[in-house]
Amino acid sequence: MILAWVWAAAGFAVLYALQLPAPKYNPVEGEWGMQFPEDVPAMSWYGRILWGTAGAIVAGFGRFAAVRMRESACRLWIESAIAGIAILGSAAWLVVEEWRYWIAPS
Amino acid sequence: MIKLLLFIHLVFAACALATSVHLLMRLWRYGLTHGVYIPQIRMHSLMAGGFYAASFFLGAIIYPAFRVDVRAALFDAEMPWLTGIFEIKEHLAAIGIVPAIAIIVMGRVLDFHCPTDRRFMPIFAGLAAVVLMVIMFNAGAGWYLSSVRSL
Repeated sequence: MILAWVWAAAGFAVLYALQLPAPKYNPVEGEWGMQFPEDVPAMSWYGRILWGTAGAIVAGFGRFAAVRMRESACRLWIESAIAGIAILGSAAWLVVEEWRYWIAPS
Repeated sequence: MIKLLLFIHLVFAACALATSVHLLMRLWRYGLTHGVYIPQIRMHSLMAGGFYAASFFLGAIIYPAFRVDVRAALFDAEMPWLTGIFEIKEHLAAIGIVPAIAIIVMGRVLDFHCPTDRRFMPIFAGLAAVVLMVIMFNAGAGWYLSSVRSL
């Protein structure tokens, strides 16, 4: 059950970072639309949260369902390392993305 | 009203930062001694995760007003690099929410006296460290962004 939470965190981070199509609301224009990767994100945070939540649920429940698998200490460290790389990698990807779009040209 | 929510958002973030530091310090001492500070670990994990979630929820409520009155009107036009800092802040906050909930659950579920559960302590500490790093950056960035045009 503990590892299910670790995988849920990783699933959330990966699907959040992928910038999948999601509903977006532009509050300046007062318009709803769909956000695609090539669009400039506008109020896309809520859409990303939805995808991240879905990723957390799928990854967490998937790992929970696999709880019957033998949990050796080595397997614990390997799974934790994979999930940790997914979380930190997603965070780093997002930081680099925002740096390139907003901060570097300034 | 938005400024009041923003202030409460700041207070919750400061509380989350303090309790996260305490949680990691207690986990470090537990790792060295195997037995001390268990009630404090349970308390700090609940408080750190709870304050993080509350601050996150308030941030989600404040976001639409920020998006129009601050980012569109000021940051995007005159200081786009501040928009970048805020975007990083919100991304990190989103990634940190599941670890924050996870440390609440682990603080309740783990039996700190049981050798079988003790092997999960490094995972617990790792997730607490992720939460702390996120809070440290977000608190600093949030304070700086809100002070750009203030006295």
